[in-house]
Amino acid sequence: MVAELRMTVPVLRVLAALLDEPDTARYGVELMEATGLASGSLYPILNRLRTAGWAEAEWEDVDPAAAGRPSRRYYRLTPDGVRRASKELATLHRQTAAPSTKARPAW
Amino acid sequence: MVRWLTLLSLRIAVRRLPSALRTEMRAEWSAELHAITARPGSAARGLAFAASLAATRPGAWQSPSTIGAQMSTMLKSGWKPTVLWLLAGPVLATAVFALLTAARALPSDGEQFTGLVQVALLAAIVGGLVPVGRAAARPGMVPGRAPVVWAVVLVAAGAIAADLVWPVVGLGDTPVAYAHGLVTLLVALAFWAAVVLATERWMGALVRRGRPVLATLVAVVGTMVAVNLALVAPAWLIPSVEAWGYNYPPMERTFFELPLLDATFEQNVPQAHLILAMSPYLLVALAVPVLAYRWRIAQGVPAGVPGPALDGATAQLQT
Repeated sequence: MVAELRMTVPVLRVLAALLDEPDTARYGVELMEATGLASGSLYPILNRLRTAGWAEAEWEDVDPAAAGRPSRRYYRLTPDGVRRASKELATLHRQTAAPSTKARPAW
Repeated sequence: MVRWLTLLSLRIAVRRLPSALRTEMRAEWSAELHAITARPGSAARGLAFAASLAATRPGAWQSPSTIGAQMSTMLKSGWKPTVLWLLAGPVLATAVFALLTAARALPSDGEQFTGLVQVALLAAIVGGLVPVGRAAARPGMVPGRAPVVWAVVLVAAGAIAADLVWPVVGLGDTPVAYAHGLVTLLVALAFWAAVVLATERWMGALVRRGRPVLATLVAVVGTMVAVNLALVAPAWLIPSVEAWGYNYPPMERTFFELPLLDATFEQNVPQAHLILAMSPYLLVALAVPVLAYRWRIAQGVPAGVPGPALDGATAQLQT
């Protein structure tokens, strides 16, 4: 079930970053760079997105000893999340679009 | 030093998390920190990463729509107890208020008439409270803390809102009378809350010690004292209440004369004060869920969780 989620500017930034390439999973640092959000803002948002069913997370399947680093957690939007995020961002674009100005003659 | 501060910040951040998230977030952040600090000259960036996490409000991990989410959780965990507790106070108060209004519309016949009204209203109060009390005794009908808190908050907010709206809808209070009415109401609510909280603690202690009869007595007397204080304390603290024309009976008689209080207001009482005419019933009704909740907690039954063995009536209510 997809729960309701309050749309804030940081949430929309995260959604836009995830929606940029919906099939590509991203880990936290990548998303911080893509959104410009601090870690203290990003991770609570990712958690809320997961809880609300908009995003899903998956642990990387690597051997830490062989990779020389701990395994990371990757995030991507769920199919329903893709649909809802697209709708929210489209609404935002409509609301923030400059009113259409028809070219008028100077006189 | 920077590394030490980074790890300390991360530990603080993990400790401030909701317990269900700690293990997974610790693993995730360790991996992220590794990714950040693997780059040369990025120790400060790692510290900023950890410090930002440590400074995050614990509430940020929940959805910002906390009110909606809480209501949703309450309703999912059992809508019948939630509805029962949320509506008990307002429904009872509205019923009594309607009775009062109807009684005022009937032709008066002196003392005999007021006596009849008193008996009818007393019956309405008892008739309203008995089913609520009986329902409260069933484990499956005791909600979690949230519905009880919400019930009290919503009704108190409603009473205050009514006081705020009253003059706006044209019932004719001057600003002074309006402010006076609001302060009086807030003082009344503060006294009620203080006595009910003290009562529920005392009653809970008695229940834990296996003294249910004494606990019941404390609950009943405490509720009476709470309502009486709510009514008379404003007159003690704010001398001008008397000047507005209140005509309260002495405290020891107040509870038994509650149904008559409405009739004792004189014509020049600020309209905003009339909310107090309804408040005794509201305050009695609101005390019931608070005390029932404490009783159930004191018995060691987790609130909000249906009891393991239900009687037939409760089982029917839950289906």
